[in-house]
Amino acid sequence: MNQKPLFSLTEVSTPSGLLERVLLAIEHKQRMARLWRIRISVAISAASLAALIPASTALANSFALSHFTSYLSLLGDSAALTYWKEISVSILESLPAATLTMTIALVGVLLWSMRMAIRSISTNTTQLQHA
Amino acid sequence: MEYTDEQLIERYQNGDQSALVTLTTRYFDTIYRYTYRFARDRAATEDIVQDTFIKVWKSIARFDKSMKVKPWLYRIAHNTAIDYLRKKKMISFSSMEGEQFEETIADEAVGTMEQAIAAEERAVLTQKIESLPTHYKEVLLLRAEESLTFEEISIALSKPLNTIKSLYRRALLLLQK
Repeated sequence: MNQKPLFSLTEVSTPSGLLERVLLAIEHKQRMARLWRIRISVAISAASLAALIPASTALANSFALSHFTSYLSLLGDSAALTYWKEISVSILESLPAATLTMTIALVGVLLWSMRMAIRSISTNTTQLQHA
Repeated sequence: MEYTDEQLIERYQNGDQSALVTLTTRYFDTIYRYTYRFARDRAATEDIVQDTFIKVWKSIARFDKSMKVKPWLYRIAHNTAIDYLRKKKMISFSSMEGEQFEETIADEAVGTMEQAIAAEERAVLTQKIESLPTHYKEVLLLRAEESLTFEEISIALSKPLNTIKSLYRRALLLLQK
């Protein structure tokens, strides 16, 4: 439990205006941090969107070369149901795993960065309104 | 409604920006006074105090809720002041190195300030305290002027409790000389 001061030294007065200057300095740092977050998230969004174009092209080409759609079309054939296990394995094996993983990852990064950008812009706008 | 320090931290972590302003305002004068006792220079004190509260803002998201806010603030102020004053060579490295204190020191009576106050005028006392080596001065100021408990000082200065008590006792002895 805190106790009363045991003694008082010569008084130290806080310069007038210093508190306001310090609060402004903190606010300035907060604003800079918010702007950095916006810049970084927008940059990541743009980069992931740019990377998504060749990635999705590569994915489409991979699917075309992999006979995935051919195996998939077999599922509609009633006679093929007898070999549904083998067909299922073939379908999975024919998936272009590497390009598919990369494309999904890029979509994830794009969505995450867009969410961060929107939140940062929204927070920044709210803070500007309160200022 | 007046919030406790811990409530203000929680409110800030939940998005209430005004909570940090309230906390800063609440401790501004005491942190300024504590810092000035070390720096003894207005310009340096202003820089240190500004850096301190900026660091408070940067650290507040990671604040350990099992701690109390007051010693945490003093720890940041103390470390900021020491770093600043070392860079500016306003204190010597040797004044920061304490003597080695035994951890198992007996819990003797720590003495009272009344004997010092009886013997010295306030201004002379101030000068004497401000001229103490740093490791004595910081404990004495936190205990006797800022009213922290020994446990809180131990947290603020990151030193063992018995070391703090020893430093305080020896600081009183030095003042009485």
